[in-house]
Amino acid sequence: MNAGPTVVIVEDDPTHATLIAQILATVAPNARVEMPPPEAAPAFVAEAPFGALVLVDRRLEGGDSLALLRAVAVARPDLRLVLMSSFVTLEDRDEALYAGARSVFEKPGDLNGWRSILLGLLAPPISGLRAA
Amino acid sequence: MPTPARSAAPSIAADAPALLDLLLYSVSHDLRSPLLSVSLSAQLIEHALGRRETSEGPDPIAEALGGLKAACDDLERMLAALNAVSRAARRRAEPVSVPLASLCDTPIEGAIALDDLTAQELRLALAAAADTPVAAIEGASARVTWSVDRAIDGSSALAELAASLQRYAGTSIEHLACLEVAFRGAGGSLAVDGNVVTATLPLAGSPA
Repeated sequence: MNAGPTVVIVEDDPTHATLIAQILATVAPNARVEMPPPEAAPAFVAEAPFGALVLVDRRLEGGDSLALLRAVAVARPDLRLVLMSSFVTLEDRDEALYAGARSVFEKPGDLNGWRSILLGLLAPPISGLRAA
Repeated sequence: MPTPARSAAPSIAADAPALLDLLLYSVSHDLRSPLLSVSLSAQLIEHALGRRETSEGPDPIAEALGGLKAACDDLERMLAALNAVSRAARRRAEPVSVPLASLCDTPIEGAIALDDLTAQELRLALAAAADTPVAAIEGASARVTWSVDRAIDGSSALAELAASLQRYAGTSIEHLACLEVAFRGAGGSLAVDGNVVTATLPLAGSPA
């Protein structure tokens, strides 16, 4: 049996993390989902499996998570870092991409929105194509 | 030697608008997080239960979940309005020159100074106008006037939105309120008289 993708959810709201994990289970039943507490996230993410998808909340316990993104992007360029937030401004998006996130999304309020985003993030990159 | 409270008071008073803006930003972000949890939990419960039909009328659990989702949608609409106002107040983009003729379809010289996003929102508002927008230049400002379908009681769309989020969130009045906030940040203003809206904006190249 193929091992599924590893998804690390870095959230300071455990309810949110659990709900995201539940939705993930409906679109990727084989996914291995990890939900480290925010204070343990930097060390945990540093040891994440190669190529893991890392979903990071914009605000962690009152602060922002851009420092975490910057550090991880440098130390582990293989990880797919994604920033998520309850609301995303253009500035938030630019800052996150500059800090090393591969993409940014605003948390949808409906299941279908979440499923669509998670499926897109879990889709394997198209191989065999080269930039012109 | 002043007491700490006395020395702190003027500073708080001076910072009050900034603190209110910070509060608006925090509220619109922080309240959505638990709202999302409630909303998604309701949807996951509904999904887990599947479609339930009874021969004795509506399923009370489905009805209760429907009520929960409707309340969440309503809260989401109001929080989105707060967030839109907060975003409008936080725009920091450099202004660009927007020709008046491109806004009003009338042959008028001159351009106003607005950031791209606000200019885009102004264009949308003008495209939805109930009549043909009119532009005129007065001193170092340009005035753009147009009509909207819905008359406003006071002279400020922002004041109307602030008075009743429930009533105006997601309506054209919310959009006007955001324009009002963005225009203020750009050195201009927006006033309403009944269903006539007047934007006063600095001309490009004029000192702010």
